[in-house]
Amino acid sequence: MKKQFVIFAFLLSVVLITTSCAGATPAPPTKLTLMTHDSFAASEEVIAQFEQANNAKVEILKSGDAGAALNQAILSKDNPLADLFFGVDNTFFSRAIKADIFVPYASPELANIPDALEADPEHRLTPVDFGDVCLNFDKAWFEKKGLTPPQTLEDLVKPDFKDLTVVENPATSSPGLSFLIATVGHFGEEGYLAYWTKLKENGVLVTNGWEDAYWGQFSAASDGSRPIVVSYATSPAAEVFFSEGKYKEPPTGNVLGQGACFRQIEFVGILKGSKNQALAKKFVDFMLGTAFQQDIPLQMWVFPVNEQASLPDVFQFAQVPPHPAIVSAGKIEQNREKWIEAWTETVLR
Amino acid sequence: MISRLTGRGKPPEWRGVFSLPALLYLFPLLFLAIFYFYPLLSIFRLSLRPEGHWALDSLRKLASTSYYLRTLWFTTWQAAVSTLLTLVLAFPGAYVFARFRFPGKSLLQAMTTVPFVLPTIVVAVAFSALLGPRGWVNIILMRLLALDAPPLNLQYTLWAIFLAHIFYNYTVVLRIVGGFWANLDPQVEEVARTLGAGRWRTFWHVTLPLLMPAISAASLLVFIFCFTSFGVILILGGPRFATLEVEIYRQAAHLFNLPVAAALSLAQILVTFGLMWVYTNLQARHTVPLRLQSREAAQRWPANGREWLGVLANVAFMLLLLVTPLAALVERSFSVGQAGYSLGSYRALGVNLRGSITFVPPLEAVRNSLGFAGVTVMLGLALGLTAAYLLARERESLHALLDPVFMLPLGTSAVTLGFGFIVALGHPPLNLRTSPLLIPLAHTLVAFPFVVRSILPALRGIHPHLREAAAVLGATPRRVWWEIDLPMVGRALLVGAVFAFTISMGEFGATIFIARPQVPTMPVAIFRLLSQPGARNYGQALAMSTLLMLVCTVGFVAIERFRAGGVGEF
Amino acid sequence: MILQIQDISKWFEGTQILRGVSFSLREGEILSLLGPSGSGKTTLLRVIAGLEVPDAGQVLFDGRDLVTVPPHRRGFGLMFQEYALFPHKNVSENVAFGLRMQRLAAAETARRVAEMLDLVGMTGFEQRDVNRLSGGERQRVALARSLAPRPRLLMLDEPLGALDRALRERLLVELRDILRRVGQTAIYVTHDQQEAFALADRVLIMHEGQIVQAGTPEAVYRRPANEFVARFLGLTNLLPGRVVESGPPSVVQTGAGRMTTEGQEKWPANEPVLVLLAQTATPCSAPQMDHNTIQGVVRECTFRGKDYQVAVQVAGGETLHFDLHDEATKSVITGQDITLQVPPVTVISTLLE
Repeated sequence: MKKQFVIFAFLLSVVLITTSCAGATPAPPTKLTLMTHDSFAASEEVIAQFEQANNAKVEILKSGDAGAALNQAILSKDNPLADLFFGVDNTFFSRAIKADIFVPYASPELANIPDALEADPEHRLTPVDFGDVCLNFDKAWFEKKGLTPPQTLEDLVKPDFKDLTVVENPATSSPGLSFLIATVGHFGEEGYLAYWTKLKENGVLVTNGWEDAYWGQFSAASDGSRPIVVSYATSPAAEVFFSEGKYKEPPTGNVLGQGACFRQIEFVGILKGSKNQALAKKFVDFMLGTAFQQDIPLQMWVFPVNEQASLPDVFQFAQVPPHPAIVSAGKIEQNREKWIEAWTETVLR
Repeated sequence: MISRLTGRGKPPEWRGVFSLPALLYLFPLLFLAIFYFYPLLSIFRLSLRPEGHWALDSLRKLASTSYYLRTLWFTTWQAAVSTLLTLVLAFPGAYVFARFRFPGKSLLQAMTTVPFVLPTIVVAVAFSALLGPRGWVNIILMRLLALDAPPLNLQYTLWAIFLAHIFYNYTVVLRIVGGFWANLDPQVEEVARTLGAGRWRTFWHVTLPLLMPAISAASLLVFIFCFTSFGVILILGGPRFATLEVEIYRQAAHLFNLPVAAALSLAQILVTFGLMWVYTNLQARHTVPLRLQSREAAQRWPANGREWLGVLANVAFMLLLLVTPLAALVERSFSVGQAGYSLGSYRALGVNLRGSITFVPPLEAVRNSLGFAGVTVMLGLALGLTAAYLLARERESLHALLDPVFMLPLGTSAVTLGFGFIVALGHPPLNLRTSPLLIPLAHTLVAFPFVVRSILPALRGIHPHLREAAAVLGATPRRVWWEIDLPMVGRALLVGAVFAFTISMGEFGATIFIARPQVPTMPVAIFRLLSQPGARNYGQALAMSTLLMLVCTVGFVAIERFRAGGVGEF
Repeated sequence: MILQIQDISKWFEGTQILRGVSFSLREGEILSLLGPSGSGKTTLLRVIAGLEVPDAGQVLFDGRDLVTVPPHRRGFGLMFQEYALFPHKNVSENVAFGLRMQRLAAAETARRVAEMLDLVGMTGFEQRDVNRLSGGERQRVALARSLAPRPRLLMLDEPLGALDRALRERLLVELRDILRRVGQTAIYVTHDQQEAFALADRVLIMHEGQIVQAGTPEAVYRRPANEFVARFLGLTNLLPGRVVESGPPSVVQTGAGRMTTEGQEKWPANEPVLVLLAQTATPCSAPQMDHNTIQGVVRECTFRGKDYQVAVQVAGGETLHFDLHDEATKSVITGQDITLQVPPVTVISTLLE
């Protein structure tokens, strides 16, 4: 009997202590889910700032590459998986708008963002970052051969640059599509296929993804033999940053000539059906604020849209192309499939 | 005919095969229904009948262009050639592993399975280091033959696809055929030899037919794997080649043309089902109960120079094909991005340079991977074993249908199924769309057919007399299962466990299309590192790959050594 | 009667394998089921063991109907033709299996295993891998395994079938000794009459799912119940004839001559019958047209060690075989006529006209 009493007393006290403790703790944090693509990254510290300030817990839901992630968001629009979606870029912009999965929100932070980057007058999608898909070249290779590196798209079809270029398949790769759009922008819809024909004759190599082009073919980064690759304008800076101090100068350079690059802008939007609209709005504000914006460059190797944000030192090697190709999101959405098919016919078959 | 059709109470039939409680059979069926058929049908319905009527417009193109037919044809023949090559090359290895002992055997066996877990992009890097224009082989050849240009160019050719398929699937043939062969009584072959059959005729008329269940099981798995090949075609084959799976991914993820993606998925599933149907019927006809041997009795040291030569030749081949590329990877992991060799990349794995929220501490990735793999092995074995028993029972009409159905997950495009999960599993009580549990469930779907195929030949190979002998000696059906079936399929069960473990450790294709919170596995970590430029990332990705190989090798050896209740002695 | 089999029938895929089989067995008796392959012996054994369920009929053991009792609760032993030794267990584990199923104490099990291995002469083989045993060794282990749990009934399905002749004969003797020593009630299935006769107290001859004759080995051999049994037992000197004197002894007129029958049975005159001639005969001088003399042409004369076998074609076309002693063969020349004196014949059955 005595033993049972002791156990009973112990249990009772445990119950009392736990309930009293529970009474003393603050309300549990609200969960905010951000759906995004696999390349999303941010500092723990920065996210923690938001969580503390708003008593929230941010959950990041990665859902494949940019295309697959957006499609999942569209498929689940009746019963959304998340509160926000980040990572719609301008090549997918019109599809996202057409699918009608976002609610409008005009963040006060938009004041610090150049109008040129804004694409939706109704503010369903808000720009967060931008980056340019550019040609990179292997500096050491050209030095060794005593050749001048290419300056423009037109250079690539010259005999000097035969068998030197590797690009990605626009049907399976986001930078590949961007580069195709750049050529459409530069040569026009009537001229881009002729350019690609010449590029093909000059021995362009096509891979299906950025990884296999960069880590498999690009002479500056792999065992490959191609010194020119379609990558990002920030790649040279990343090479310096991730070189363990080996490089003071980037080993690679950008081709920045007229229309040689295409600017990808990434947007965030609040998903229809989100139960935490107020908190989601705060998160959009937060993503546009300087803390998050200054975190973007080293995390995702793209530029912040907020002009107030300062850039890390290493971004001195990341040039912003002065004359990127311009093609509107609507035109891209309308013609994407057609361009890809024509390109496939011209280059691969 | 007579009294058995009258109302007399029918006594319980002794089936010869232990019957699990009927309820247990529901387990694999329910699993497939909930996690396979339901999501699949949901996405098909949404794709093909978006607003309640058939979306025929977008399908019209499918019928009008020959492109898709050509894709189907390419998919089929490349898979057939890959399967044949793998079979021919791995068969002698299976023999050597089944019949001989030699030093370093279990390590070599573990090594041959490692490729199975490696992400394609990492394999591409390894091949490139070995066979690329600036790879070891070309450099050596250029020096030897005094050439100016690299003589070997496999890049983006069919040969690269075949080579990669062999590289990945060698172990499937080695394990399934070799495992079965090891338990085959060598006396049968000896008898044939005494009956005057020559070495070749013995093989052709006796050994080969006896091995048929295992050979056909392995071929089928390899074929379906190559038929649904995704990463290998995408990365090693390059843009000139596309299988149905690649085309489905293109249509679904990039063009968002769901009707076409769904129609292609359906075509792929139908072809898989058709193949399985043919296979099942063939196999049911070919399988005979065998006198199985404990493998200890069948294995011996090579006895003469000729046998040693055979063993060495096969070992050399395996080293060359499977181990050299892995060695190239390991070498790179110590040298990329640094002067000379050092552990720099490994040390960097543990450093969160940018304080990133997506940073994966290596130990956590290992832990997640092992955790998912553990769940997959458990779930896969439990489901696979029950399913195998269901198929081994003597109800021909039922399993003629079920057997192909059990294989379908292998033939289903990952992106389609991933989208299906999103559409179907979003309502309580099955609100699993964003649950980490979805990852091992998806892995189990892929691993399950492997487990079934590993166990089934062994299960059907148990001579019914053994079970009957045990029953007459007083063993209850449950006891018969424990004393006879379990130890005798133990070996096959281990093979199944290795496959489940391997698939889970290396699985990347399916998980990428599942919305998943922060539970990164090792392949996910590798991919994340590779998605940004910079030698340090590259070095870390290689270091992580090496770690993945190491963890897997240790895992295989551990599974091989794991012996509970007599499992694995046989 | 410890075991009573009553009217067992079994169909399999539209074929009737057993057609109302009935017999019974005394305690300690060794019964042999003898018959050609496909006659249903093994199926009958499996029905008794509980591995097959009969479509009709009863299996009574000690008066209790066994039809609903599963094999593992029958307490019988069954030795398979190919022994079905568990390949993943060694010799002593195989022998101990049934004892473990009875949850016998470890020490008792070990003692019994040792005893059994001693009985079959396999002491010292305890730890051997069964896959590495010779055929005879496997057979002994299988026997020890079946006997160890002291089965109330032991069934042996062609236990010597897979062995060579010399080994078979030696093991047959040992098997008989062992079964007799433990007083085992047993059913022994075989297609070999020598095995059946050497081992069994009683022989049941099966044909097409039925028992066609039952009796002691001697009775069966001496008086086969019908032509099938006679031919199955290798008794091929059969001649059709007609009863001319109903006797006793009856006299039968055959194509080869007039034959006196043995025994006191009376056969109705003019009845068409089949008679069996013994293989022993003595040459006599021709022509002597008495009873039990046959005349024919020597077709073949084969030396067989202790005697010669002579094939004689008699009038009517049949060829009969006789064993003749060495000294009697002087007059035997292939292709020449011969006259033989034979003992009284046995009437096997009547014939349909």
